[in-house]
Amino acid sequence: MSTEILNTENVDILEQEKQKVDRLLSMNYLTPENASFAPTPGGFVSLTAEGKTYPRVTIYRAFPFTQPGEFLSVREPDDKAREIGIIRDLSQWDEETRQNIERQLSLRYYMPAITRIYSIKEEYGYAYWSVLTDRGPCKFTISSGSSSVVRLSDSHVIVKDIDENRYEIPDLSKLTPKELKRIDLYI
Amino acid sequence: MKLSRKMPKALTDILANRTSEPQLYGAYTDLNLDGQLCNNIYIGATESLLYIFDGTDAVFYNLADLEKVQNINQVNNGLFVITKDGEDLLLARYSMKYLTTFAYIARGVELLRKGSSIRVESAERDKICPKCGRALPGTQSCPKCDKSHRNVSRLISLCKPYVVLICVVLVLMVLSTALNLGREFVFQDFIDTHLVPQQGTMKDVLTFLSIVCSIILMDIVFYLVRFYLCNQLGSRISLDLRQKMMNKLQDLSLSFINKRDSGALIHRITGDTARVMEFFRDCFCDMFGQIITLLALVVVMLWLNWKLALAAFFFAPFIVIFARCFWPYIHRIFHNQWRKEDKINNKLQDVLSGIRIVKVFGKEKVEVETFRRLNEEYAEVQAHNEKFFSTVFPFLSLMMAFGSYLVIYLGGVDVLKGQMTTGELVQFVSYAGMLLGPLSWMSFLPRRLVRLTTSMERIYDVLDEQPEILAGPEAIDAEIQGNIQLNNVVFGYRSYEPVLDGISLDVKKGEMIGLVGATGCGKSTLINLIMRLYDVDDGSITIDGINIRDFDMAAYHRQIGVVLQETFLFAGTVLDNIRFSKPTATMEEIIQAAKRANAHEFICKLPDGYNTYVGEKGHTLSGGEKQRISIARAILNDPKILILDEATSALDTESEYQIQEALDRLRQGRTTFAIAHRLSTLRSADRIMVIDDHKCAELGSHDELLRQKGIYYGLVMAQLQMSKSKEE
Repeated sequence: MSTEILNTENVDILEQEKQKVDRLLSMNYLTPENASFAPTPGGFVSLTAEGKTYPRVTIYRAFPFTQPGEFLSVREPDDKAREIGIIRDLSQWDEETRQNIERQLSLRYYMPAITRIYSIKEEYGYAYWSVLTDRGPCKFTISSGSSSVVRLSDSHVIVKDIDENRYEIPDLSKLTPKELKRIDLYI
Repeated sequence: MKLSRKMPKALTDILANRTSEPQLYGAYTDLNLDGQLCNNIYIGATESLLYIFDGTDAVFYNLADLEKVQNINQVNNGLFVITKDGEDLLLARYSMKYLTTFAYIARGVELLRKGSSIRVESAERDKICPKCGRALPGTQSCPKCDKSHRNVSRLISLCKPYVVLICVVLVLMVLSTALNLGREFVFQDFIDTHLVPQQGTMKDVLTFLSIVCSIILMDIVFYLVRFYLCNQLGSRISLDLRQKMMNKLQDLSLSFINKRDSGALIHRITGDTARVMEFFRDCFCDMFGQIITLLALVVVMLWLNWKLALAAFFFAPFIVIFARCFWPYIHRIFHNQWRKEDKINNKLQDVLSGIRIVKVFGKEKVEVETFRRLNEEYAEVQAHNEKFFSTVFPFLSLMMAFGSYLVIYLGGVDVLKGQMTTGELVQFVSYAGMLLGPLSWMSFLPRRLVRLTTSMERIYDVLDEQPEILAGPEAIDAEIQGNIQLNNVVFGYRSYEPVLDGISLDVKKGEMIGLVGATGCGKSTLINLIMRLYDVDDGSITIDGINIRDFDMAAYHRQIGVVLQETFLFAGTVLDNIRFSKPTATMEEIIQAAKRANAHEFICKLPDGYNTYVGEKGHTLSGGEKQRISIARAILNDPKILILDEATSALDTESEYQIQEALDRLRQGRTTFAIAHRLSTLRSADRIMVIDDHKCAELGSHDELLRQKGIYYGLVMAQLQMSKSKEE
């Protein structure tokens, strides 16, 4: 009975799967020639590419720390987040698109950069930081002792607070000696 | 965590003009849409309205006009997005600080929009003290605000069984102190009567020596006994605590353990109790000793020469402050050294464990170069630290000893004037030196106490926890038949993220239900609910018409047999592992169960048969062999409900076939739930349920589902094609 149904139907599901894999493997670059982005009234961005229109797309950075403006992966906004294509280099696009996409990126990534360190107070196993960031003045708490502070390089530091927000200090050498002394215990 | 927080005054007025409905959810965000930190944006919802307030004005949305309300997780922040007229609208943005709050709120508003009467509640704990804003160390009481003397009373109750032991330690302390102080009197007497006047015989010297020696000997004996007793005290108290925690953890439901990571819990059982032990061993007994010594010193010094005593006391605090100032710096530079050393060790570990990869890719030179750089950095830091020590430390000790010098100077003047004897001066200088010990010890006491209290808090945080799954007042201990009913079951590990959303199913006794769906769709979760490892959030599960909550947990679990995906064998013999489900089983029953699980054959061939030791350091079994043992374990106690979660996934086709045959026979009269990716495993299922998007997408027999040509049909076709193409 069941095998009958299976044989009479000749839908080649395997072929569909193969096409899916092909799509996954190919490097599909989106360029100003084959794609265009437009802002949506809701504050997001839409994409028209290869004759298809996506009412909303999300954009991920492949190398958020090292190449923030290159290799941007454009994906569908649902849970599966299938990749539509890759933007090789944002600087090749026109000013308006660039601003649109940068705004989408800024919505996705939130990591304030610490510019000044006002004070660090340690109490009961937690360190309370009061700092100025590029997003405004900010107070946060890290648990001292554990690995709340990660050094990406000799001068680039990431601090993770108890809420799992991340803050970066892009260049330690730009801090004053006093500020350096305040954070010395943690890095 | 509160999901309806105090709204700004201006909004209260605006809202009152608009509706009389009370606010159900609401909170401030901390970011504006540009990602700048702010504190004026508030989002709230009543039963029919959603509103966002920016400090001056509010925008209202009728929930009936919206198509979707959701929180979208981003990298370290979240977006509040609504869908209106097919268009996604970005409403607000918040950092991780408020992500959980708004995830719950979004889920709550979405339910309101759908007209559901369910209100979302958050069982999540606040991370900061609502009173003072300090971080809570994984507990609910603030280390600062919670000034109740709970910790003291806890300590006392911990010590209660060991009162005698503690008293003995105290007596020893007093004796030790007396000996130490008394020894100086003997010195003083010897100096003044024999040394200074230069008169005395060999006999006097020998008497002096023997007295001093016996004092030192006694002191050593006291010290050893005290050390031994303190160790005893510490280990016993921590043993008590560990046992209490283990008992409690076994009582608590899985959701408690799942909410925290198991690593942190293991740390609480071993790490935090170890800290309590350390406190009792190193600190608790010493604490009394140091206080007694300090008091005795102060009294004796004042009594001997109050002027000199005051001079000595005057300098003592400076020394303590000095020591405390330098300590963090010393700590820091050595921490740095330790970190560099750690880096080297890690690198070594990395390279050595990955040596095959390094060699295959021909990267030996690169690795050597990286190692050389790390090594040099370490050497540099080490040299710097050594230099610091050899230059600064002599100065430091000089400063530290300054108080003593002052006492010697002032005392020396007195001696020359004849107001004090040489012996008295020597005695006094010794006492002044002895003063430093307890003082510097006590300056570190606060830190130790904080460490102790945080550990105690974390331990009692677990001990005070109430088990979530409580058996009803009259827990039913009944023989079950196996009729299971799921009525509109809703469940999520976090209530804002439902894993199962409205599943209904009526299972007759002896029926076999196959569960199919993509990874992470909730199949195992459904099984966890049937095993009652968790309680449903909404809806109900009944067994033979009785709510699953009313059953006695242990009695219920005794009647379920489970083979899980991850076959876990305890360290022990094969026999122990099979017998785990029914310790009273006879050897005959065990062999019978092993035969049914197709395990008897390979077990007999093991050198030690059923007595073969398995587990971490024992005989290594293959995945399939482990699985067969766990099947034997599951069927040994003749369960009424059989749960097979990928039970045969690690077996080769032949043994899978054999076990399938055995299981088919075995499940006669038993209700069976089986999860399998290999759909052929489910061919004998009476009904198959396909779970997709948290819901029951398809339900029916194999043939029925094939005719529907839905998800199940697609899966069967894909697997069929796959096996075909492999054959080609």
